[in-house]
Amino acid sequence: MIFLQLLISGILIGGVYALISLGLTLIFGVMRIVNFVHGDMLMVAMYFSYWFYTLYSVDNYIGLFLVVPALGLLGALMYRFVIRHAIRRSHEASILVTIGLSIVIQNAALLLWSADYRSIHNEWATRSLQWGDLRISSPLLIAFIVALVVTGILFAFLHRTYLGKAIRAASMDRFAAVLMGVHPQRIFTLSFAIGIALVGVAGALLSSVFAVHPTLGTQFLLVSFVVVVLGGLGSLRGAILGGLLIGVVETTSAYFIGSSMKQLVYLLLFIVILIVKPAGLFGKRIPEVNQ
Amino acid sequence: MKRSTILLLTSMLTLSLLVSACGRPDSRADANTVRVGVAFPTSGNLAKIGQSCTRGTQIAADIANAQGKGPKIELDKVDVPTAVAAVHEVNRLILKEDIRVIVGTYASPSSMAASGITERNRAVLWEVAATDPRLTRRGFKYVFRPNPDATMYGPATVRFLEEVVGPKLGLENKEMKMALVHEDGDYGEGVAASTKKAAKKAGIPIVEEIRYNAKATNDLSSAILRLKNSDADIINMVQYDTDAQLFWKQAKQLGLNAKVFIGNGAGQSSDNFGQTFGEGADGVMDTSSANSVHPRALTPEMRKMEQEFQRRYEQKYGQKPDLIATLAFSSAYILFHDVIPKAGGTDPDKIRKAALSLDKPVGSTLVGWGVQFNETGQNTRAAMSVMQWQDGKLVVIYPESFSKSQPQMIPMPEWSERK
Repeated sequence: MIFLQLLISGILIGGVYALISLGLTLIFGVMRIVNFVHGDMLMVAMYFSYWFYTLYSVDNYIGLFLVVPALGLLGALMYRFVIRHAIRRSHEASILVTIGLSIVIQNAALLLWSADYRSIHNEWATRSLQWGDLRISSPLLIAFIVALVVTGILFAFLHRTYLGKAIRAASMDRFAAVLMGVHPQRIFTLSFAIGIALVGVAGALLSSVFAVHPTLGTQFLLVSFVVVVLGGLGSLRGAILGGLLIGVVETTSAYFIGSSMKQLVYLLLFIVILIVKPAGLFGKRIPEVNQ
Repeated sequence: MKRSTILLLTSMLTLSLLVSACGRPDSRADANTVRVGVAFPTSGNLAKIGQSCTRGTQIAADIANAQGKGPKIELDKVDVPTAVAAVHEVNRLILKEDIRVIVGTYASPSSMAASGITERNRAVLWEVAATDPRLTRRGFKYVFRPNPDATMYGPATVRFLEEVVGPKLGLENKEMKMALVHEDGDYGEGVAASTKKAAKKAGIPIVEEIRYNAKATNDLSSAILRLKNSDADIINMVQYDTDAQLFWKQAKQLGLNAKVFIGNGAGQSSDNFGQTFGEGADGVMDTSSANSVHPRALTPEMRKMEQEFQRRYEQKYGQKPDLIATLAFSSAYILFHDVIPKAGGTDPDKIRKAALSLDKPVGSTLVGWGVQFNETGQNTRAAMSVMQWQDGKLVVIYPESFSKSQPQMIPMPEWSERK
């Protein structure tokens, strides 16, 4: 019974990791940008959601429909004004630019919203489904379902629509894509905006689970990098599976070995998987596209 | 980047350096003004606490200056989010700014690092919040700590359990099963160690101990499931803000019940805990320095001071002071109101002499303590209280001389019986 409960808790927190990692893996897959701003955009999204709730009493599940476009727009602007200049340069350039941006955003948040720990406490926030002795946290269950739905939609978008195919084409071979009439800057703006909008989904759903504060992003950034690399850089399926795997390993090892040790356990597993499958679970060896 | 842009940026940088170098008003010349450094983490993940501490210290200086008893106090505030930053900034304050007294630093690792610098340079570190016991146990001459250290939490909690909880529950010490859940930094480990020691002495059994990393924990369900299995009567928590909130949400979701939930400072005593949960926080207790003690425990002077502090704080910052701001105020006020005027300035040896000569009875500080420093610089009259969330507010319930309200909800109703 306890094992089943741990499995459920692990899958739920894994769903959170997966949801956060989706945007990160998309951005890396298409642009080869290691995006250190990702965690901070989660923080911004959670603040938006929190303020919609506090100032205008918009519940965070409805606020989702405001937060996601807002984050998408922010993502597009960020790409146009900053990220664009780091693309087609070395990885160090994109890393430095995004880390710099991350510092700016964290401190802007500190200035604008103070260092208080804020959290939405609506009736959903602490509710859970009960089934015998098993308990399933309602907000995490919703986040998990949304993560699956969003992945499905994204998958369909990338494989069925012209724009989606153009995004995939640009990620596979930029030169050939340009020859076929794909406008790379437009595609990159769009994918960056989608990537950030995805983290907006996570932010809106999680604002009732975690307390938001200006440095919240760093708390999730490392684990989402692990998820993305584990699943295979750029792979959506990989992000979902990697997230769930880390979630389950984390909760079971925290229970049986000790909560302080859980990072150790999943990072060890991470190393082992990378030794066996260097490109991650679903990763393909992709050519560098720096030229 | 275009060459013109680079040129522009470089010249702007140079200009800003020049401006900041000569922009400082030269107040050092004024004999009636002393400058005091204030070093708290006002950015990074401790920013909330650091800002409160800085504000409390500022109000203490404002009030002391308005009283005009000693030299005018001018604060030089710096941001020390990490121990490394603390070393750099404290070094700079001492060597470049010629400051001899520094109020700081909140985080124990920063305090340990900064005190090495102040001691070596013969400057005073007036620590108002860090609880690492080692701080005052290294034979340093110029470190003073008005607040209690981590070893004082455990005995206070255990005394409260023996005197109040045991009789209410009708349980002997050996029947009160206690479980500990704490973050694994200096603070959590220090408080947990003192709690285990005090519990062992009193014969209270510890049935479970769970440690976790507060900065990297996004889920506490495993910890809560273990606590559920331990069947403890008392759950003792040592947590920061985010993990305390997460713990309480998940405790409800997973149906973790116990007769008493008691925290130790930080998480459960933060005003954010009450803001998030409202009445959902009710019943949770916290051992800490008191946020506001009953007026009968205070001297008449301090009763008036409490009102003045609250008024000035709200006027300046537009919000009520939280616990840590009150604590920082209280401890900084001892320095600004009693020590510096007595020492006639900030000469470290005179400060030491003035501090060691203080003999203030219990009730003569805003948080109800007395002041008497021992040779190591630790205040021996710092006292702990137990507070409880009642109707969405944190009130002192123990010891009786300090208490503003009676303990309630012992035993704590199960989640299914709460609304």
